[in-house]
Amino acid sequence: MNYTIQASQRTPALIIYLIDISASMNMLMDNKRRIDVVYEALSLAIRQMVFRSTKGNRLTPRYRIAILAYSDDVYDLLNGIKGIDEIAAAGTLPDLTPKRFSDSAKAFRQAELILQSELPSMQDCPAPLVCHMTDGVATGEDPEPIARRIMNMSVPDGNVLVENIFISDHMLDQPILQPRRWKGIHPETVLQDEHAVKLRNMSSPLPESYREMLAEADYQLAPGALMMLPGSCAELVSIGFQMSAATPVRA
Amino acid sequence: MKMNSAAAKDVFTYVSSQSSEQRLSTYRGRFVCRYAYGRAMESLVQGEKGQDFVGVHIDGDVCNFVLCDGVSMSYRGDFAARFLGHTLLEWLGKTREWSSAGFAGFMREITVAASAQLKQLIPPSETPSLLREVLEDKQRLGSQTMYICGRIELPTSKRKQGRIWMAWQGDSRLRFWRHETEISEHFRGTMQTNERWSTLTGPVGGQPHVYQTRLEYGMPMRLQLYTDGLDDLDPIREPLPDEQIQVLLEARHTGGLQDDAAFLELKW
Repeated sequence: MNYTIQASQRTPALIIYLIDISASMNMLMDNKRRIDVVYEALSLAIRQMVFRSTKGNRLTPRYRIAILAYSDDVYDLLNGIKGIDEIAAAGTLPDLTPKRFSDSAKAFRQAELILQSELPSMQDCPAPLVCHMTDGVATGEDPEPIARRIMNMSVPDGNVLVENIFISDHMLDQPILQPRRWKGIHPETVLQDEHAVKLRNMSSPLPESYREMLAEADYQLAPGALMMLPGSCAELVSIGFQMSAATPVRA
Repeated sequence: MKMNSAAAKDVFTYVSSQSSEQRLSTYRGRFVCRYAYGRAMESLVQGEKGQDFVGVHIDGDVCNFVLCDGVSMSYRGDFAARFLGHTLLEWLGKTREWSSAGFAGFMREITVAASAQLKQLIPPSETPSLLREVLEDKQRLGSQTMYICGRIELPTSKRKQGRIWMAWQGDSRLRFWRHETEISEHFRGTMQTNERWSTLTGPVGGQPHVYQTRLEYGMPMRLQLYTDGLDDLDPIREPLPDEQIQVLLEARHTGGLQDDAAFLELKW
């Protein structure tokens, strides 16, 4: 129960991405549409998984991925769970096109169904991770009870992890000037936004093994940080997606 | 590759092949040498090379040895392990310069030849574009391996005091027993996962650790080296019979080895 099982071909990590594609994702961040920043960060995370999965010239399927984009409905962009080798063979990720609303509860419920189906055969694998990216208040049902149920699901390696990336400029009382030196969001961090508080309640503590992996990439998150990132700039969004791929692997 | 070219002269060489397994075997001369090599089940199934290396050369009362664990996160860790393994085995046989600075300098010098060879190892043409890009990025960063190497000169009638010299970087296991007491605490804290040798820069994560001590005549010693694929050996202090080491190498309890494994034990 300490998040130390290494992702391998026989014990692959499962990562489920929940991506908000509501209309507000058309707004600009760092002179790009938010949706494009997210697409680039997700592509970089996939590339990082490929980097961590090669042995010799071969790509070993150490990661299994599902990408659910949500608006009024949930769109399964990969048509089920796909191995990192299959995603790399395809070359590019499916497009993310903004739509209207932001019903995150529907997306969490679909993630819950995937986990219910997958967990029985994942008892020797690293604890799965659900990485949720949003830029606003959820419409529809409250997602928190579903996220809590997901966080209570477990395998011997640990409870299922839930990470939240919240694209917002108003979440913290001070801007993050140096993302690499930033210590992270903690239970006592003052948050300026009610929705951010809700997302914090839906965020798992950052496992030490993940924190060490991020430290190797020169991100100095402190012990006790939560798996929650304020996406106030492209680099922080990218850190959030890199965090999702920080499952331990054999060096 | 195994050679016992002149048993009567007590000469023995073993160098692992990265493409096949070596069951636990023993050579008996002035040294008793047990050695073995196994690939991770993942590599076996795919018919791929292992990324570990072990080599030993015994000539009477002198023994040179190298053990490497290629870093799979780097480009072609099998290459770095093989290159460094062969290079160090040759160096141990001919060097007269045993200083720490001399060794560190040598480890930097050989990066020129290593990088030139690595450049020739391009990804296969049919590699998908994303994987190719990642492999090319990795190739620019170099191939890496952890290592332990050393030389033992036993005391003889002409040489009253023997000597052991060893150097290492990385988290491969290096364990030493005097009589039946383990004295590995000399090395504790120095077996660091972030330390290794790179074809691009030489030593990474710090300078190589070097250990040297005299060997007393008549004192039974045991030196054991293995890569992390055999980490089931970590809690075991007593000498294990061959069959039990072989059981760990076959790892049937986990459906085969989870990582490549190289093993070398020397007793005198």
